[in-house]
Amino acid sequence: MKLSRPRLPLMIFLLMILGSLLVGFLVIYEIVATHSRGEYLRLENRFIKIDLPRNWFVYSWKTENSTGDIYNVFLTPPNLLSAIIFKIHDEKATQNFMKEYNLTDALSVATFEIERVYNWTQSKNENASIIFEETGEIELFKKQAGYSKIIVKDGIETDGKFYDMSFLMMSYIQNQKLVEIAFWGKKEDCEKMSDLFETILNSTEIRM
Amino acid sequence: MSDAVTRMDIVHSAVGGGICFLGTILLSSLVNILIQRILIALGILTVTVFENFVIAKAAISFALIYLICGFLGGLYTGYFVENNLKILLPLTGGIGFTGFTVVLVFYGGLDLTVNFLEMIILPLLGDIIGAYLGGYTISWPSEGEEEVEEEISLNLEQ
Repeated sequence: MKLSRPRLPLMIFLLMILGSLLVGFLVIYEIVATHSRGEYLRLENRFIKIDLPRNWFVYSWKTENSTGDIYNVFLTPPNLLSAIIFKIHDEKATQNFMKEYNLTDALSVATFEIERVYNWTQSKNENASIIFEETGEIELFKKQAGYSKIIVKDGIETDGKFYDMSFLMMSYIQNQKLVEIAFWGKKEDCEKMSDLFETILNSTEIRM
Repeated sequence: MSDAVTRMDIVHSAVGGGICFLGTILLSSLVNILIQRILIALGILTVTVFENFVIAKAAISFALIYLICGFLGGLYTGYFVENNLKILLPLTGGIGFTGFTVVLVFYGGLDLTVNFLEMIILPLLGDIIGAYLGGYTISWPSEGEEEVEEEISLNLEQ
């Protein structure tokens, strides 16, 4: 029995699909090969150098408008309810942000963001309440940074249930540019991630 | 046999474009989920944050969304239309592309100037090339058919 040859356009179609898929996966392979640093992938641009865990949802974007530019990086693991956010403001954005909310220094920024998040959790759940609070100054990237940490009882909702929420806010100002780092999520998940958060933070270099 | 494009040819071509358009809507969300699942399974989901990932995603989308949908639309058009495929198949791909782009602009808030290569060039090329290949796959004579035609002509000479 003689097998008939597939029609030429069908063969071209299949070859084009295979070729495009090959290009796509080769580019992905190239990204991994180029940015691989042990267990992490290094994201490096003019704003930040950061070692990212390989299998996380990571988004970075820049908002540009008349009030200044802000570069953002958002990281979250696929299986835990917690996230890390970096916000790097330029001089204009810093000036506008501080002026708009009447803020004076890095610590007041951290306190302001904590208040903002707490108000937001209360809008979601009226019974949410702060059960732990801590405010102070720490050394971050060899700079003096303000930090504030809260734990909100029933502050986060998932699958129709409320859980305690942990929220840590750190901020510092250098060369009139504000850097904000937030680490928040379900309390248990944040505890599981705390070592990793430290590792990520230690690998990070903010470029201004 | 007339070579003029009939109204029914255009209707079939438009229906092929509709198949291409609906397929694109369906596959675009499925392929995004598929890519994400593959990257999670490979343990490299973080690659999505790098600039070059746009190229990888564009190439994969070209293959799995636009080429396939254009091909399906072209198969329909090629099955129902015999003549003027050179004119009608690009129409099929063009309708599929236009429909999808309009949906993205009006409902997805797509900014065409930002994603020109990813959202205009590759989808248009994929839909039109796919439609051509689909249409000609139907009308292309297979090896078996060629042999049968030869046998018939021999019988007639006898």
